[in-house]
Amino acid sequence: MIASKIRSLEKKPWMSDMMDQSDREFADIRPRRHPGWYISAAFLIVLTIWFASSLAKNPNIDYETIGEYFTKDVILGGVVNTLLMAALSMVFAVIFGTLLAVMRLAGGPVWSAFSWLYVWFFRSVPLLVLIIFCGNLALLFERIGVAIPFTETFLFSVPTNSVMTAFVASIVALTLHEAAYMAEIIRSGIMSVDAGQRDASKALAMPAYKSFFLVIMPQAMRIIIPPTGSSVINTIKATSLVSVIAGSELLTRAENISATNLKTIELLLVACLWYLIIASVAGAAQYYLERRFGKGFTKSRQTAKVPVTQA
Amino acid sequence: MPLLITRKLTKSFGENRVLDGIDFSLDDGKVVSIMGPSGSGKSTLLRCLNLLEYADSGEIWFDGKLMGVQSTPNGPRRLSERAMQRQRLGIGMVFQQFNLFPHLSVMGNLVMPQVHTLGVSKADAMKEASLQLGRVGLADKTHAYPAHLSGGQKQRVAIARALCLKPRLMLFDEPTSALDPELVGEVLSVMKDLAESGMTMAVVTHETQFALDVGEQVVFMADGGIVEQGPSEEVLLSPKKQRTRDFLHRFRQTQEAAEKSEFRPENSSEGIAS
Repeated sequence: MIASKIRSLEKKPWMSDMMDQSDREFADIRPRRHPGWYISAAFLIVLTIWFASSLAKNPNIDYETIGEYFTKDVILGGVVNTLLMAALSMVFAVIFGTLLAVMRLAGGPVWSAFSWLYVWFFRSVPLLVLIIFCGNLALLFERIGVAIPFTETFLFSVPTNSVMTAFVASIVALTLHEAAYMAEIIRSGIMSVDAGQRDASKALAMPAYKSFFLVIMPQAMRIIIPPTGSSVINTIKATSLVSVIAGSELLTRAENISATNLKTIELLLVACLWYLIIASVAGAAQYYLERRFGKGFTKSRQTAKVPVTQA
Repeated sequence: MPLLITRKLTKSFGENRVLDGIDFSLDDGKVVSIMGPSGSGKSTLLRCLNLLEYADSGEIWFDGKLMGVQSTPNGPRRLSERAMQRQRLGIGMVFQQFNLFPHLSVMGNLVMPQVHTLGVSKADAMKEASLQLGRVGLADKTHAYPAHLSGGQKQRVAIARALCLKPRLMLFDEPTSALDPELVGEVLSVMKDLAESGMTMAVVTHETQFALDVGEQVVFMADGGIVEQGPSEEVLLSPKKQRTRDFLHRFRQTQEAAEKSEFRPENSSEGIAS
């Protein structure tokens, strides 16, 4: 039937026209021209130069101050604190988020409901509110420690303000918030893995936790990494919010300085430059992680289709 | 005593009863082909046998042990996931979609389960893996990733992977249905070798020729029940039940039609050029 369709195709006039020219050389096909690309590039470059020059000539920006503060110890200390804060809260958020995702998917009805509630709550509360709340925890609980439930009897306790420093409170707030998002990212990663993979590891009698760490997670990572990269960059930037409780990170320090020397724009630009640098490094790290976990998947389409027949 | 016995096995997905009282048994070293139209419950039966699905009622006896269930004073109760994991160890399974681990090389696919379920050393696991790869004719593909193999090669790796755990029973769930026609033969021939080496096998398949040549026994299923079972020649060549006859007749017709209309690229290209 298919063969007869093809035979009817040969009779089409346009087809024989094409066939007549079949001795023409088609071997060297060049790509299409794209003059639009050069025009767009020129347009954007001019626009950028214009904006840059208006910034450069702007009398309201004191470039010496930017240079001076860019590498000052106070600012560098702030950068270190920002990095530390973001890194610690991200690590905790990933661990906690993985737990929440596993609870949701395989924790039975009780833990699954708990996980759902957690995600619902901490995605609904604005991060800024959470940060202010954690920073003022001492107003709610004067002391924290180990107590007998439902009584006021402490076995061990310390004043809240002695542990919940602004720095710790920031990490707690960022972790609680970010864990909710990480739980959803990791859950979607786990669900993206083909059900056959679970069947196969079960049929190979692998214990559930080994199948999770050796089969499911390595494949889920491909899906998890890109949004997690965004999350990391988000968290780095979100650390600036803790300036409201004086978290002593980059923005807090920049603002403290500008509060005394009144160079508001200059110090904001210093902070901005540092955020740009940190976020770029994080983005580069993501690229290498993606390559690492893409193993066995990348370029598979092209090579897998090579017909290999063996008797 | 048979290696595998099922008694009154039933299973429903919601309202839909997919297995409706399955009774059959399989002797050590024999091959049973499970055939029937799609939706007849063949795959579900196979998945129940190694506890990938849980039967609602009935018994599965494998190697003298009751699978997936323990009896308590209050009646039968499902075993823990851990205990079921141990029971699955004697049963290997091969899937229609191969289900190789795409993030591991062929060697990794064969070594990892051995190390983590049998607890053997990596060196021993690699030795066993090489042996099994040689057996399925893929000794040269040790370092390839699954994405770089053809369907037939993937399925042979999957068979080797299951064999590494030294199962007493092998389940095949439509092992050639996802393959291009020209790759079916290589997988069937590996399965034939395996059967000849004395492996007990339960094969869900549409390959009647394989069922006749290799399988001793055929179970023909429809609508979750067994319509007819017995020696392969009897069921396939002179079926007693109308249901079986109809299926085999229709099946043969579609096969012949497919062969007739088969697209032959060499002919058609000649047609255009002339």
